Amino acid sequence: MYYYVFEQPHSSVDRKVNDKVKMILTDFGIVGEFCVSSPARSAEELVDMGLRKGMGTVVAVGSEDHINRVVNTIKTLERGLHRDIVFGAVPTDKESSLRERLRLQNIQEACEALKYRRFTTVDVGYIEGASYFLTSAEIRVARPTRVTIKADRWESEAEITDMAIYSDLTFNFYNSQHAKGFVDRWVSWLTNNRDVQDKGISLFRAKILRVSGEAVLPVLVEKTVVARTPIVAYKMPRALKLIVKRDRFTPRAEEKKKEPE
Amino acid sequence: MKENEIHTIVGSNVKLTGTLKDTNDIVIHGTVEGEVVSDQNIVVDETANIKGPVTAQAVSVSGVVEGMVRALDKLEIHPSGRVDGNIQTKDLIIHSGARFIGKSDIISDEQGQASSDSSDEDMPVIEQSDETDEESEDGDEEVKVEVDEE
Repeated sequence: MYYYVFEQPHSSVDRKVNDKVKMILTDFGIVGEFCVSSPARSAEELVDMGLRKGMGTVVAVGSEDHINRVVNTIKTLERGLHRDIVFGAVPTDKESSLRERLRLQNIQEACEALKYRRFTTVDVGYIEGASYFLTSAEIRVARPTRVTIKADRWESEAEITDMAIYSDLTFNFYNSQHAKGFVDRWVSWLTNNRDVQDKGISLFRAKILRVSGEAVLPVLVEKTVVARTPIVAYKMPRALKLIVKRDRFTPRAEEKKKEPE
Repeated sequence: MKENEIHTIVGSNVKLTGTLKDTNDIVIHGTVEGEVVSDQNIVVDETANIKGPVTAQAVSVSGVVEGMVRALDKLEIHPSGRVDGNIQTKDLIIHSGARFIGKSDIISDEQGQASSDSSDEDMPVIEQSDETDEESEDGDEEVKVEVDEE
């Protein structure tokens, strides 16, 4: 049976979206147990309760922050259960990167994917002692801060303001104060120069990543601070059974190839 | 080189130490102290500075490389490029204004193929004349090539 964990609605719009999802699920005949997180019952507690009941498929409905929290709880508890949990997601944010990655146009398509329950195993990122994540973990600071990054067989030092670590441990970082300015980009666009790539942006892949800084920096998964530097991040290959549209899942590497030039 | 195949980019404000290895293309805008190895292509941008050996199928140098450059298919040194070190390649292009100080060896097709089949093997045997060997023994092995822009 499907176990749906809805994010707590923060507005009437959120409530309408939740109602719409429930209605579509009912229409598709894949009604399971619905529960909504609240200050009294967090998403983590609800997932814990569902897994104790023996639920085999957990579906998170809500923002990417909520989806990551559900994934983190599943991965944390899964080891003790000695069984794999199938995970489904209905991203309600229109700008959701996960929605793009899953090639879902809208919540209707997300629910339709759940109906067919076709799943694939995907990589999950893990910050040691802190959190699993399906989307990305980020470091953002207002002022450029010197960090040391150790990955596989190399070490690097850089002043950064932004860093994003994705679930396949592709990561990028840059100093926004050194970033190419608006005027440069505008001139590049005006002169039809497609080379608007900012030379300050770094992009790497690794199996293990260590980040430490001269200051303690918060590490966020969406809106939630999950750790503080120094951190060690790992890629957990094919660690999550994720429900996807038929032949429509895009691994992150493939996703980059599809990006427009 | 197609940008969408790039999986490793060293930004201009980055100083990297160690071995940087990727099966895909590598683009370097910053400073690297150590070995850079790609199974595909390496682009050394104008702002880049590498101290260490560089190995790839094709290498394009617009910045500074202090170390051996081994490009199995093609090595191109652009006008702003500078290579201080020996080079091994099948196809060498040095543009006007570029600077190259070192010894250049041309890899034959068979050697290039053998090298690409087994990257862990020793360096391929390089075609050299006896005169070149004698020069090497005298410690006068470096050839300085500076091409001034017209």
